[in-house]
Amino acid sequence: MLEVQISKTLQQQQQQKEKIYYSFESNSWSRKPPPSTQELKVYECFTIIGISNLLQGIFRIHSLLFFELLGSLFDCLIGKYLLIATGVQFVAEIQGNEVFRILKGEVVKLFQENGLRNVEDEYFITLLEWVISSGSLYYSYTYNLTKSSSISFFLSSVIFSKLN
Amino acid sequence: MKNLVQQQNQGGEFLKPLTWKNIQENYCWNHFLSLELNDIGLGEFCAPIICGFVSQQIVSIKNEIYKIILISRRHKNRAGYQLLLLLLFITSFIPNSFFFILYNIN
Repeated sequence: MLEVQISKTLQQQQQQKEKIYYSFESNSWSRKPPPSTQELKVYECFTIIGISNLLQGIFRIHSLLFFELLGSLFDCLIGKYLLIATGVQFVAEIQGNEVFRILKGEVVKLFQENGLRNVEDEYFITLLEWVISSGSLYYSYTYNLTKSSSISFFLSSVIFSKLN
Repeated sequence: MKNLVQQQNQGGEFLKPLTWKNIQENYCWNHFLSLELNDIGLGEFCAPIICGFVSQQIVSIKNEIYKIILISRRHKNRAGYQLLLLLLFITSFIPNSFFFILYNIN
């Protein structure tokens, strides 16, 4: 069994921690802990970046659609991995909305290990961790960084009201 | 191009809470990686991530304190190649973009 604790902001980190549980037997996520408590692995993280195969994840970064489809064929062979941000730095504050920068990342295997392990997997894991921890990824839980329409909001509401 | 401008100028869209329906998929780095979590209903725990650069600086202009924030991000499919793809602005395809936010602290 796997347990992921998520702290959304640095202030919430001290107060509250939301937990998500993943059970290997049923291959499903849930907010409540499953009744059978076997071995627990606890990971503390700030965000979940996503779930992917190793092949799918790497070739998605290079945006080659052919290899992405090829990666989906090897889904059952390789298994799925969880990408997690474990180290975070405060960068900016936009009217109360905090923006963070990802400094460290981990790649966690979701399926149970049945003794089968490829040596090549560890090479792909190090590649993925290198991309995540390169320091060029930013996120915020409350402010929409992907939209560019937010310029007009700040310009119109704050600056021009001041000038008038 | 018209559609893009209309999307950006829809009133009050930035006042909505951040969900996975509001984002622009072009600049969201982990859009594909978050699809499985969204299907289950655990999309709250997965924040939309941009690949680029964010920084803030505090400046005083005419004895008034302002805060300047730079947000730049890359297209999720085509990172780089900004000079080569400048002609594609005509077809409303923007590879990289950046903008400043400037507001008065007081």
